[in-house]
Amino acid sequence: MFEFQDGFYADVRIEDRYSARIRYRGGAMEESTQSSVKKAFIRVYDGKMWYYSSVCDTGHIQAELDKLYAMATPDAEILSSPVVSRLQANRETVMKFSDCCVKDVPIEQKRKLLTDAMAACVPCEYCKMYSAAYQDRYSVYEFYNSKGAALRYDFQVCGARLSAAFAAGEKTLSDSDAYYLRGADRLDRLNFTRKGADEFIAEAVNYLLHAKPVEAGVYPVVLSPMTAGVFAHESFGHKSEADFMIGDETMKREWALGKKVGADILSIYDSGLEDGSGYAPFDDEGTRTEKTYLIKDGVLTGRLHSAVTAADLNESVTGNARAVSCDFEPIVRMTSTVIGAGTLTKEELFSRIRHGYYIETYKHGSGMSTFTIAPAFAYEIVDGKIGDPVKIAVVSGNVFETLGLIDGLSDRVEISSNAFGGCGKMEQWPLSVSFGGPHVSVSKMNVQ
Amino acid sequence: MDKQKIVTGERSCAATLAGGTVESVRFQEEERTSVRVYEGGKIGVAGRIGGGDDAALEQSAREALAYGIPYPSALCGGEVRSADTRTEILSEIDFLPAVKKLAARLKERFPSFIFSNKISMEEGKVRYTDSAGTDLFYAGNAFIVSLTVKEAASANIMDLAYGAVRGYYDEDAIVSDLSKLLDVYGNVLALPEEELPVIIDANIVQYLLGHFMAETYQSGAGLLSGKMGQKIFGDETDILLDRTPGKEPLARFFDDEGVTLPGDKFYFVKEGRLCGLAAYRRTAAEFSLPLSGCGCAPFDGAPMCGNFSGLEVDAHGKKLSEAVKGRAVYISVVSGGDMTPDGKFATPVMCAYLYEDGKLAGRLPEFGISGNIFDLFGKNMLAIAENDLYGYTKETVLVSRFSIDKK
Repeated sequence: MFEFQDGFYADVRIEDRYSARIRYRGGAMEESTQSSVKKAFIRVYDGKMWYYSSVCDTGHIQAELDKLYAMATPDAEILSSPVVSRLQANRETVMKFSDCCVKDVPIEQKRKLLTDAMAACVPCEYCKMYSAAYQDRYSVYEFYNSKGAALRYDFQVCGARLSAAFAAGEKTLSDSDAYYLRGADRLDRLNFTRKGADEFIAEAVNYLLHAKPVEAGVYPVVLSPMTAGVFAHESFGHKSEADFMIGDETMKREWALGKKVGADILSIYDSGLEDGSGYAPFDDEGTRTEKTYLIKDGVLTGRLHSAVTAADLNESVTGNARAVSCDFEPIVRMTSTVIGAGTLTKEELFSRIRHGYYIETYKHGSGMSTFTIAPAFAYEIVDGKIGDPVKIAVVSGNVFETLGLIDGLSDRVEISSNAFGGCGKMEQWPLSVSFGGPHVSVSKMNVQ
Repeated sequence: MDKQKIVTGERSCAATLAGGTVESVRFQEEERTSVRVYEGGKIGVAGRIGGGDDAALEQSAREALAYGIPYPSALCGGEVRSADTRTEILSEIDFLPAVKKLAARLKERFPSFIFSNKISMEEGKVRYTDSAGTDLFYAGNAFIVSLTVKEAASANIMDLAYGAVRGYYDEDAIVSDLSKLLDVYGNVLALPEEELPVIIDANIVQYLLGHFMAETYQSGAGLLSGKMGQKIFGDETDILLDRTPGKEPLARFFDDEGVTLPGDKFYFVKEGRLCGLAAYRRTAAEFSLPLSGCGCAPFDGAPMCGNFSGLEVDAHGKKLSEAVKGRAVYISVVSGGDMTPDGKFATPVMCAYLYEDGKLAGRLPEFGISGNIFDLFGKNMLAIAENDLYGYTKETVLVSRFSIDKK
């Protein structure tokens, strides 16, 4: 299909992306868009440097490829380079969403999801403004490389969100703090309903009227499955991305496989095979994805790799070289990151806490050496029961310490998908990922 | 039928540093065209990436009118204006050797640290035209440094970050900026017992942006709702959009709806008083507000509020070294802070220094900071100043009294 030259490794990734966006505010439609964009990303490697180009005219791929070849220096031994030898030559077609493609769903049906949910806001006396949004994406990828790879596969995600702002006298709750959000890989799994919207409005009103401030300090904290997922992603997932270890002997020493890094009950895995927004049968350099245990029973057992990082650490590729779009090169990223289930019921988990906080939903999370989660709805835990809502700006902790402070896991895992946001790393945001876990109890977290 | 057309062209080359070495170079070029048509109080939009047939694009926009999306048709008043602030930074041929030279110099000058992430050169061109005869053009370019810095002996992913967006390249100035942070990094001090002012990037005002939006304000549920004309911050606080061409290399003087600002400025807060809201054509018409140039739109979508390019907290020319005499806590890296519904801002601090008489004296242990956003820019505020610690990167800082939550 493309003329690849000897002496180099090269690959071409093409994405044909359909997307739909619908927005309403206060019941009036503000946007309804459907569009398709096709782009390509080209890479050439000469054993010393990578040369990249992003093109929006896929008819010019060969010309761009040739331009990159002209900048690089041929290496007769390129195929035996530690990087190139790790790159795979899979030839396969994996079309998972052909029979349920969001592209085939009339836009009126997507709009109705929103108008039904927005109706829950109308009778609420405290609801002062509401907005709703729907977004979906269906991508067909093609991938070819100079080792003979030829792939064709698809990806899909859809999501809906209802946000509302509330006021009662001096008390206010803005729409960035109060939202009802659902995401899935198929529209029939979205579960964005009027009933869910009613429950959201009731919870938001309770929060508006009764939320109290907290005294900053260190407390036991229980994370909901959704928040536990973002905790796993931020606290440990990013540390498992091996590009942070390139040329860094300290990191290689500190993060040697087999090292004890968390509580005995803790296992975290990353997998591109889970259904949802983290699904990817292949990564963006054509490597087949797999389930990689990062931590098993508290012990560091794996990390996430591209071909470059796997070669640098003399390990195997894991299928985690990913890019947000054909504007960017693949870098080491997560797919679906999950904390494994424990043995306690949710009730047993809470019953062990005399005074602490429960983080139910979150606005955003981030993580380097310190991870941070900004809660949306949070509650006090008193004598083992969920109590009044509380206003918390952030909960945070040192990654190294907090993993060892996990002292309880419930027995049921939930994984959250999201069509609106995703993971951000350096210039690339948002990457479709998912995350989840059970209810997770941490004996000490900073609460501000 | 009223029509608008926006053509955006972007071109960039970017080098990636991994473990202190340049490992890749990337070239990107893209042109996006958007056409919006207005008829009978409705909007139709169509967009395209790359070249193509403009008549077909307009036809797609006309067909999109059938979606029935209400939108006020209010074109610009026929203004014709052009600003080209591009400068000769480096040629694309010279870019990669220059970055390799910088990377090698950083490695040699700071052997205890590892530098990663991106250094890039970007050029942007935007032309807005409409059927009222408006023709606006802006072109700018910038050299962008976005480095993560890790102490070689540290087990953290990163310990520091350094960023700059400038209309020129100055290797010596970049190295000099980094030396201010890194030469004293190893001098670890105890957190002072006495209460000291805190110096932090004034960009924490970003947590208020949603509350400046007209729709949030008018709902009555915003943190600022009902406070128009009232004093919300200290007398010295001016928060504005300043789109003077060239002030920020890539910030154009018009928004995605072709709205320009009188004197290229729009004030949200002047002398501490709330005086303006963020509005685009839809909300300006809905709430009878002046346009603030906050309209933004994806290439294929309808406008919304959210363009805050040129946002600044005005330092009025005051320098940090003049504003803070003696000691202060200098916040270098925070980790994902946020604000509660009643305005309490809090964030963990990953890297902070003791600031003493215009210099960084040593690094402080990790801690958290918090404070009510109205107090931080109000009764607790000591100054807003230009950070003259640096010679290359530009930053405005807030000097205020925060609560320090020791770990």
